[in-house]
Amino acid sequence: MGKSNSNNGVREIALDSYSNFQHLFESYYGRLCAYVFTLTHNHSASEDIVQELFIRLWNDRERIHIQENVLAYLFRASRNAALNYMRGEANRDQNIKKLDVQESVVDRDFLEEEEFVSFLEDCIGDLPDRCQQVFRMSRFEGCKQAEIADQLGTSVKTIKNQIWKSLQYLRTCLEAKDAF
Amino acid sequence: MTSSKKIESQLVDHLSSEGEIQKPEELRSWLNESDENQQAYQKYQRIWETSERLGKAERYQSDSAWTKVEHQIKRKQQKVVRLIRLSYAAMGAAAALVVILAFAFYTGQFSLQENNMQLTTDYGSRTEVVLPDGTTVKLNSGSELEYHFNRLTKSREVALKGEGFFHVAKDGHPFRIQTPQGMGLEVLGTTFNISAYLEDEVVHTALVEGSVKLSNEKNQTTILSPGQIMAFNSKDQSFSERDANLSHIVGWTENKIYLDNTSLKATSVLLERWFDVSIQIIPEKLGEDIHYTGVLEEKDIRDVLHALSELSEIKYSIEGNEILVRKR
Repeated sequence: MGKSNSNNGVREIALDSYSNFQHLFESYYGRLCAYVFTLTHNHSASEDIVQELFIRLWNDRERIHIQENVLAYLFRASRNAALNYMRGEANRDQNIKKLDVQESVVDRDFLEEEEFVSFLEDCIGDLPDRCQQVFRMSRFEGCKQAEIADQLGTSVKTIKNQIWKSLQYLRTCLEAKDAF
Repeated sequence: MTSSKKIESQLVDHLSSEGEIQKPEELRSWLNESDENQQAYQKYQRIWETSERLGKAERYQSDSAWTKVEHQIKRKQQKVVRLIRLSYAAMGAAAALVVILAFAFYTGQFSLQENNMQLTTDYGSRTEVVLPDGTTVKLNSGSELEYHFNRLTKSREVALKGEGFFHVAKDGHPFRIQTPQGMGLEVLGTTFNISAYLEDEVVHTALVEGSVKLSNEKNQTTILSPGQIMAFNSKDQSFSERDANLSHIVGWTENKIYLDNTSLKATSVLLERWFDVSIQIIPEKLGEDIHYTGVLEEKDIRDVLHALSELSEIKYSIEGNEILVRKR
């Protein structure tokens, strides 16, 4: 589907088909919303901002040439859109054109961290089913070990062991991708 | 020397406590043992903290957001379509079978060996095409078809969202369709209808002639014989045979909508796609209370609504593309 992980781990997704576009949306929507939320502190505004960003991206796809990696572009564009929203600017159309010249709005460390998140997401997706379930409950849903044990009808010791196994797996997986 | 099991357990507990619990003695001395241990610990800590961030991202529902975005994008395309329609009207062309929409070749992927194309119809329009392998497809409103044909291997792969009536050219090589609900379909040469709209949980496949093989995500398969109609439920990935009239199911290819004890609500969904309108029923329950049987051939939504209001206790109002249906 035109999606590849290049050697520095950047996801490059060409905007040449609708399904690629949808894939791009599904991969980044939640993360961009979570990021925009750190700026706006408003969940529904954050969602609106990110949705509008993608709609513009699709409608203007022939005029937009992403010359950096997609991740950097999306976070930068989200940031600008969020700032615009906060300034209450009505004229947001200028945004996308401006972005190509604004190089260092989002700093490198931040993008490296976001690239790490991409790798981690892939690796979590590769965890064995049971480990993945336990790890997600622990980290994504914020469940305590005892709560997970209770819900899955097993012992805290088993849960702890599965979290440990997950951590080991993720570390190996991330090391293999040279993510650290 | 402390057992490694104990260290593991302490490490997990320490991470889980988000640094609130002091590192126990054993863990501390393990960390002090070597740089290697230190580095390993830092990696685990980074994984731990970053995954919490990922959890926050997962709280946003990308599927429902996608539906909204897709809707907006289609609205935009709509305007283009209206212009095309207008120009057709200006040319005096009859509004028989409606307009072809975006018919785009993937840029850069077009070669002699491979044919990839994408075809979409908006709400309110239907189209018919002949694919490069000779297969003909009628695409119902609000549908999207992606087609990949490799001339060397002769493989034909289609991704379908929406409804299509396929007459697959026989060439001894399989023709495959994948639906977003996870149902796959494989045929050699045959005629069938498949309805797999994105918002529908159930995919309906109706076989006119030949034979098709359906599969689900559990790799279970079922083979249809002519005249059979199979419902596939994406929730439990199950297949069940449906008792319905085949000619009614493919009625749309002749610009007819058949209603078989169809609820007002389900009828509205059909009309929304067919005429590119948005229909609201008040109260919502009314949509389940009224059922229709018959065939609609009207070319105008007003005529359809008029017919339905004659048949049942409803009244309607139209404002642009928005239609409001109430109890009379």
